Amino acid sequence: MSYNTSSTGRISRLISEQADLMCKNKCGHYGNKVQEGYCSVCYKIYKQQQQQQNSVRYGPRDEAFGPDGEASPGGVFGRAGFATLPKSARLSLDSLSPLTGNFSKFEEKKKQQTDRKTKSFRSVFRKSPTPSSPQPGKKSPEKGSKEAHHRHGSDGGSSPQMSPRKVANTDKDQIRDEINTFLAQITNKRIVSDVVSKVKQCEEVILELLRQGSGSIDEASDIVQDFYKNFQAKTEIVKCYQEISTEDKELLMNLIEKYLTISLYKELFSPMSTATEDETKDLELQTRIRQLNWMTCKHLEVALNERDRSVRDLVYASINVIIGMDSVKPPQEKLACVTQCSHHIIEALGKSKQGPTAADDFLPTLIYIVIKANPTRLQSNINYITRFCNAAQLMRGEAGYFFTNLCCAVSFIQNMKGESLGMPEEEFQDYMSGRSVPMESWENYFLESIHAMEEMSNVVSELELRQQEFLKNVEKFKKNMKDKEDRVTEQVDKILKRTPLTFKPRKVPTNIDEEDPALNETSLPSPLKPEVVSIVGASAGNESSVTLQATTEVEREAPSKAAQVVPTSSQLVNLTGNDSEEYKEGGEAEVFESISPSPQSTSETDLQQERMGAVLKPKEKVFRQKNQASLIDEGSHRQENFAAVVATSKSAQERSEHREASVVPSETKEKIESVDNNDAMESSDLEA
Amino acid sequence: MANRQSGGSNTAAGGAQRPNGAPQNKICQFKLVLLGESAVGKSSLVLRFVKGQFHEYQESTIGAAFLTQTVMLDDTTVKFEIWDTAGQERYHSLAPMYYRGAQAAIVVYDITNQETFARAKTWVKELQRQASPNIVIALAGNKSDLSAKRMVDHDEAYAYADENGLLFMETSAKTAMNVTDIFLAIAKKLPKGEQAAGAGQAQGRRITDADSAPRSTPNCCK
Repeated sequence: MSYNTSSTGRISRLISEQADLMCKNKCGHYGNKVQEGYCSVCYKIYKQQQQQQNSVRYGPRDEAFGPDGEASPGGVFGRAGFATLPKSARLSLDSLSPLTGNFSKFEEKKKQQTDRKTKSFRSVFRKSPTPSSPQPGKKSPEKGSKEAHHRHGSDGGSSPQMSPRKVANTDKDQIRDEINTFLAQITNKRIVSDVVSKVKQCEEVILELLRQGSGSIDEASDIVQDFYKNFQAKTEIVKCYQEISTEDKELLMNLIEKYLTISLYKELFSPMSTATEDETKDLELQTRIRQLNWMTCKHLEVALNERDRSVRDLVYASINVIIGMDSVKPPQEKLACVTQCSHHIIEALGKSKQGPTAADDFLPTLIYIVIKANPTRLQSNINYITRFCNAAQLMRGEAGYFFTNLCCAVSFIQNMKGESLGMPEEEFQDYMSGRSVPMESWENYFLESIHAMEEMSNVVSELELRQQEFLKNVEKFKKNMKDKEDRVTEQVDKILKRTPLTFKPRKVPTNIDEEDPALNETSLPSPLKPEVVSIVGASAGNESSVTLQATTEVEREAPSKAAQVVPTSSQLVNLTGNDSEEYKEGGEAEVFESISPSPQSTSETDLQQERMGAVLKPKEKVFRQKNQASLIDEGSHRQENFAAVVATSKSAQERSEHREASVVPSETKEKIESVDNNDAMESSDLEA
Repeated sequence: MANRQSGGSNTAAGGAQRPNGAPQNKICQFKLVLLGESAVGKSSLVLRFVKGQFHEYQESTIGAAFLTQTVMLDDTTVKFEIWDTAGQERYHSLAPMYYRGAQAAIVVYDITNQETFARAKTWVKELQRQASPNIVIALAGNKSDLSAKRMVDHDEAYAYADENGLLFMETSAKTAMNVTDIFLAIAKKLPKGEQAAGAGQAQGRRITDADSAPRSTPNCCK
């Protein structure tokens, strides 16, 4: 490959000139003339040193190191570990802790010393990875690994060994905080110090091992695995650990695993040593998968229904998750990605076909997904998980199962032949070399546009349905309005018919005292004439008794006047009251409601009067007749009033109709317009 | 029946181990692998065992690839972790990855299909050669409800199982016949000693370098 030669050339050139290029501080990095011959890191420290030349010596902070030393309970991990370790370990540990702004000059000095001490290992390790591999940089992984470390956020030219001296690593801080918080909850400090010292020791041992360049990554893996195993056994056997619940123990194991793998990630993940060649395998696998790009569901008999939108979404989701596996650091989280990806696949399969998803369907689909996703550094990730995930976890549980499936998928991809796809080897080779493209893969290219088209037609049909429904509603509404109008007219007609407006001739109120000229004087009994009695006292008494009688008679008839009622008008008013209620049900009653109180109140008083009228004695009917004229007058008045009410109600209804009618068209117009627009858009799309 | 007898003798074996173990209720976890040609009803068998259901058209959301089920056995709780495998011939070579570290395996064949039985035999041979030496293997002749279409003779299969020291039952995921029984028989035959908990780990680890073990011990395990 093209880069093979170029990388070899570059590296050999670098080696020849390496002495001139090295950092003045002899830290193992390359220097830069602009930075006075230091490398970027040493230059930074050098500058800081100059600035702080006269600053106060840093005393008490010495004991707490690392950013975790800040918070008192949270700092347990760092401090305790520090205190329990021998001096040599202290120094190198210190070099591991992330460099933050509040680091003192003292610590920086110490760092430099440490660096000087370890520089020899480093330069050896960097330039000639292991004694057993005398031809460094001969192979392509050199470049690949460099790229890998670039991606890991370390700036150019720095080796993974130097990375802890960079700006604080957030992952590392986070896990430090996490584990410190957890340990702070444990009351028994013996456990805390034990955990801290053991973990730190393990970390140290691995670092030492890898730094010397003699140990392979497999040895590191063995150390880590033994550590997990022994620590697990310890938590089960040792007395002081009995205080912790089983869940907490599991959590502790997880946290330890996380801590170790995060803090040593750069050393452990895809190591540079030529013995493992993770990078080479990554590239091989990636190239292989790229060659297999022509594969479709049919080749693997994958039961995914890719035409279904939700299935497609799930497929994309699973691809995203499996690609995202590379970006998380702890093996458990990588496993979680595998599990999540698998769950998406199972869900997608569940939507594509009947019946439960068994391994018969799952594995081919996973293979298909891996081919389509082509995750970066897949082989490195798998190796890393196998090496540094707690083996007890890897062999059981859902995560273990799905990880096994992923391993199987990768293995299948690597060893795939024409035979395994049920096609002649020649044909397979043709496809692999790109000499020919299977028919099905053309389908793939068109699939996307077909999907888009299908989606559009779906939208169109959905809109159509909505429009239809909307039109139906409009029709219904129109009909309702018409019904209501008819009903109101009918009611009004009915009432008008039942109580026609008839005006009776006005009667002049009769004056009781007035003499009726029609009456003959003779037909009436002769008026009572006061009888002249001889006795003066007796005649005076009679006279007064007669006047008294007359007044009582008048008084008795007075109330009946008020009680007189025109029954028809009250009924009429009652009817309107009922009507208004009817309309309320119809939902159009707002207008009527405002009018109704007046007729209702009238009807109430009328009813009262009626009741009173019923009580009247027949004797008094004479008087009633006398009052009739005025009362009828009143009745006609009321009728007029009612007619006015009806008129207002009618006009109100008309108004409401107008209002509704004016609302409807604008809405319809809008909807229809939007639909039209969509149609237009889609049709233009289709044309395009 | 013969297979029940064999189950009984295994109970006795399990009982003999009991005094060694903890006196209280133990929880043992076992990894069980399902092997067999595709469409012999591996997943139906497991679904019947785990969910107690069988439908021609099952709930599609169920993933039957990985399931767990717990059975009570005297004083022990046996937790099965059931790993389904892809049965297609093209994935045959991947099987060792699945049965690595498994304590039990059920090899399933379809009694209405002679080929699946032949395939089952190759599975058994492979397991005996490559899987962990004390793996418990059960042979299940599934679809026994379709006896009218039977192609594999019961006695033939039984004789084969007997020869090879396998548990054998004819099962039916549809009628639930012998489904729980075969898992129970396996549970009884499985050693429930100390090894159960760490079994996966012990067998799952790749062979470690002889040098690294003593080297790491003084560093990490003090």
